[in-house]
Amino acid sequence: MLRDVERSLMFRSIVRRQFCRNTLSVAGTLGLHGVALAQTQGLGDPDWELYKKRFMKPDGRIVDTGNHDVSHSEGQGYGLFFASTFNDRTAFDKILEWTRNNLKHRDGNLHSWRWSPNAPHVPDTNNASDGDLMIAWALRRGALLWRVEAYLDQAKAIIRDLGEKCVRKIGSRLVLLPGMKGFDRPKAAIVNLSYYLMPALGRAASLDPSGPWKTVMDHGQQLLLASRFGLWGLPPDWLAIDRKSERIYPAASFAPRFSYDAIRIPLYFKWGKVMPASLKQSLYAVSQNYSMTALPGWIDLMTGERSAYNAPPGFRAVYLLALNGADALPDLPGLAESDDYYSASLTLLARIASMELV
Amino acid sequence: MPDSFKILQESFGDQPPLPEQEGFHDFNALSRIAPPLVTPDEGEDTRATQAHVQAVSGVRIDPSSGEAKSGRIAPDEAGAGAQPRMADTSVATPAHMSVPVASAPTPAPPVAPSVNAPAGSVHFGAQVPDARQAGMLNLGAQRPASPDFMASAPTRPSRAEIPETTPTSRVFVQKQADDGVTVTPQAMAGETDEAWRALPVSELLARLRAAPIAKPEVQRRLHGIFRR
Repeated sequence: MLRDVERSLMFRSIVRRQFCRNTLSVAGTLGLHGVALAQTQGLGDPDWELYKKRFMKPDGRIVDTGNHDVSHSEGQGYGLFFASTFNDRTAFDKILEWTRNNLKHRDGNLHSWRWSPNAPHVPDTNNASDGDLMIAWALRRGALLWRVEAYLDQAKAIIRDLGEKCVRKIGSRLVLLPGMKGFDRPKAAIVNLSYYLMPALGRAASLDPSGPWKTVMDHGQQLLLASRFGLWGLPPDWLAIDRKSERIYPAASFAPRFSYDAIRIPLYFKWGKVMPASLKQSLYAVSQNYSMTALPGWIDLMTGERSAYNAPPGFRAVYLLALNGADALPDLPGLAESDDYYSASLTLLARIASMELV
Repeated sequence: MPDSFKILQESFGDQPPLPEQEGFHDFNALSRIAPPLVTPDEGEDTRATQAHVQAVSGVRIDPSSGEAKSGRIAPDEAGAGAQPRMADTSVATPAHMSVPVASAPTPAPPVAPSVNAPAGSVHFGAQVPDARQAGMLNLGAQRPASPDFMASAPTRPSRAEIPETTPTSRVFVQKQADDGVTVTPQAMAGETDEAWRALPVSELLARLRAAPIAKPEVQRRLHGIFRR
């Protein structure tokens, strides 16, 4: 037993050291020498190299291969985040440039949520708050890593606009709306808890100390605690909050499922160290029932029905992270196992999250 | 009209549940159609059928297509002047994705646990939930289970049907500092760390069910710009 513990600790230490070599920690701790070292571009993390090869176009567009090759502000945010994590400034700048040229609003600092390869490329200028949050978080990391003040200014501008346009008071709660248009309805507001990137919201609070972010995080946790529906007591992808009574229920205009959106809830809440025990227990029960190798792609919260297909490996990565935290690292699926962008992104995010939890 | 669909329609309908009905009051009714656990053979059949469809049609059934990213589909009831996110369905479907998952010829039973999981996967032990008990789980407003439901609830498979997985070493799990966020259910109080992991799934679900839903302790003083 002791040996196991020692081995676990040793493994953690090795992983931590390897990880720190590639991340901003080194710049922060080693001063100028660290910056010089950090500016050594592309230290060649195999997963990141594979991710770039498969999902990043030469111009910096991240392609959602499972969704008709469109791009999202979310995907651009993931790309920027990965590039900053693996100290790849060349990729970071390319992704940022493409994002600015194609998604950034002309009259503000937020980004259109979706870009299609077919014209018109941006038919809808609404934003996605998770994509904007991810971009801001990545910009902040880039600013710290490469000492670029402009990145920090951009991150602050995004967070400020998000606070003004996407945070609303619904009853007595402050909620982060999924986008600035279409979700704040007369009777109920629609919320997507997977848009609550807890670690990014924490950084938003430091970027905009006078903003609403700490309250948004607190109320987001409370929403998740109350979002226990169906057979397994899981949160739905889309949640409605009744304005008058403040009751919550799965939004009627969406399938009442724990699915491709909600799978990110345990990822982000675990990462932010605010995951409720009840969610962990629910995920554990699901993993026990179906096994880790046959997890459902979706679970209907009304009927208990599950998808006919098994979830992609990225889901397994999230379950492992949620259940085992940093200890999940050696068991996480490799990026090569994932066929599509979304699963690969989840896998890489879970890996980074587990490294940061070490 | 299949009975199950009728129940669905009646209980969920087009309208959102009324606030006082929140918490899936209708779950007990719906649990009548909760899929029973399947044996590994049935699961194999499903996979075999999918493989067959792919082999015959040459079409790869991609679970991530179509319905998968529902998050990309916008609410369509936005107020006047609003521009909700548009559904991805407006995009021409590439040939390799032309078979939606929903139209796959096989129904959607729970996939049976894999007996021989590949190395590296984590098993927490062989557990099969008591489907009847699990089906009654109602985490919100309670409605007594009807005798009708009890009679029609899926039955637990006999022990002989339950695949016995070889117990593998449990992943070392430390107590997570973030797990106690204000609401460790009362039912769990007094238990240490991860003791609940040793519980059978059915018991864990029953405890989760018994745990009260945490009432939000909402901070009334809000950030200045959001005060009304």
